[in-house]
Amino acid sequence: MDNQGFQVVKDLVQPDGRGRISLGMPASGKSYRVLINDEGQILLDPVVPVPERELWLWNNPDAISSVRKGMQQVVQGEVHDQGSFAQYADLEVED
Amino acid sequence: MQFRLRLSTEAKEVIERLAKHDPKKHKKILKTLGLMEVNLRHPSLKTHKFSSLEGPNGEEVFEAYVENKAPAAFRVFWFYGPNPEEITVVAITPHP
Repeated sequence: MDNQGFQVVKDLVQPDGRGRISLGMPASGKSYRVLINDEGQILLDPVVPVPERELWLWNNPDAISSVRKGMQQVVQGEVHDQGSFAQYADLEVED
Repeated sequence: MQFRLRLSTEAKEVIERLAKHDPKKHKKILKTLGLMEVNLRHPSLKTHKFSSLEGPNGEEVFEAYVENKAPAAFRVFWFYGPNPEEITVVAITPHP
């Protein structure tokens, strides 16, 4: 079997009668997406749970794309000091 | 505490586009950035942590409101740093 970069952490585990396996400390406190392939290999892919009130961003391709682009630019040092915005704090605007 | 804002190119370009095409929203964004600079806890910003995002070095990312109930209300995504008393604005994007 090709381990594709994975290391064996347990030589043999057997699920209990309800299909449960204890993964031990490396998996403690995390959440996973579970995938299975045609060979019966199961992959646990760590995921960060998204609170309901934040789903709008992840469900909006334009918005998440803008955030990802901005984050990438920050990583690459594409940031700009536009001077102070303090003078606009008291602007009268209609909501 | 007063902060200095740093804007990603993406955020900067959104501001520039709105200045040309939607002066009313542009004014609202300027006011929001002004408030972030001088009073990050101002109630109208409704600043809160956005837990499903993190900065390039694991920074906590926050969301601030530009508007509340307006159609396509804009939100500002930002994090503290990289230097003390600095805020990096990652993106300014409309909420559907």
